[in-house]
Amino acid sequence: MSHLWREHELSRNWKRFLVIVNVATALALTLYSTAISLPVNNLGTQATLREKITVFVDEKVPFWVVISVVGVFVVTGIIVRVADHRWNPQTPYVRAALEALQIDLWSQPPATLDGSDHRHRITLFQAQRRNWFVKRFTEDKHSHRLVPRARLPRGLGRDPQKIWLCDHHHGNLCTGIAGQVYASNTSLATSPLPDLANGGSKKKYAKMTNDMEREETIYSRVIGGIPLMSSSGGRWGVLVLDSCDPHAIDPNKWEETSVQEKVKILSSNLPEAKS
Amino acid sequence: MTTYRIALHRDEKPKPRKRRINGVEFVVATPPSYLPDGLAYEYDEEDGILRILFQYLGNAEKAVRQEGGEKVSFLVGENSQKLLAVEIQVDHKGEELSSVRIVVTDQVPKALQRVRAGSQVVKDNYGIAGKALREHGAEIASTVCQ
Repeated sequence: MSHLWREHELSRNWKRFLVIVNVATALALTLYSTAISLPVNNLGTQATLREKITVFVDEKVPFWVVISVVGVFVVTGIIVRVADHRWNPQTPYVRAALEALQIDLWSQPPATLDGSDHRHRITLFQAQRRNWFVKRFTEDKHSHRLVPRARLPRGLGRDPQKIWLCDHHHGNLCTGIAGQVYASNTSLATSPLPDLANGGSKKKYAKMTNDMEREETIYSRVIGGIPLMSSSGGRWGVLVLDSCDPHAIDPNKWEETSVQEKVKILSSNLPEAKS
Repeated sequence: MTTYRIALHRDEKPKPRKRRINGVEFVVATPPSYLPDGLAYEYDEEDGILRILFQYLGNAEKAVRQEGGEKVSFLVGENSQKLLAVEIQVDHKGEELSSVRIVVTDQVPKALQRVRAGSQVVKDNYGIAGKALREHGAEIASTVCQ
């Protein structure tokens, strides 16, 4: 089941080709329907170019050609849609890998991972290339964004919403610890962060977490991250670990074979990175 | 052609270190994807090539060849630049044990240090590979020169 997306995956060139064919057939059908629906008032030499085209399309384009174009439009549309089967981060292996990691890192059995427990969290962020339109016509020039795809525990019953911005070529533009990890492509952990519940400085907290000052319900006391690569070696995203216990993240523990194996198993099943 | 395998231990991998990034102190570690799990080696008698492969769990990355000096070439990951294999030209199987051993334990690690690594993680990866070759080079050479 976990490999279902692979079975449907098309190469990028094939997908591009099918999308072009699909769009071209849609355009052809639109032009055809427009042409035959327009009125023709003059015939012969007095007809305008538009009227000549309408007459030509109406008389010379056989019906089977129109049916074939409709067929190609439908078939390519279906193939592109099926092949675009998006990777589902809630597949059992992702959950199992995250749960196993949580146990390895914090000796926390999955039974306690209910929504009320925010002590230790693991969040899987996927790097997604930003739309050229957004980059072209807005001030925001970041090349990628890190989108949360899965989290343990699942918090208040909904997926995490915070998105971090990052840039392939300008590491200093990346935001958050997730962005920092993505930019440096190394595993990072902060030193203990200020305790805001007991008068710690928000400004210092924001600087240490590479973020702006903001209101949160929970402030993690330590944040770390591990960069993830797909099996083809492309940068895929970041696995962020955070905790309310300032000593809960120990990078020495990341060196343990069991932790590394789980991260590698998770990485090897990730879909291709589109960078 | 027989393939031999050696598992790499935790001690052979770099320890996390402290580093300041934008004025903030972090503990930095090499990501798991750049840490080889083990190495495998085989001697291709027909071509006279000793091939040392660095194994990474689930890796399916395309390899790009890089020259590593006389009789040595490296295969590195197309995207990640991590070291996937080292190929050493061994003229004939009867080549002296000591010369093969010197190439594996000394020349190749030195050549790896000279290869231009784009980032710290890639340098770390080459460092781990060099250390593993220094450690296990004698064993590899003795298998080839049997």
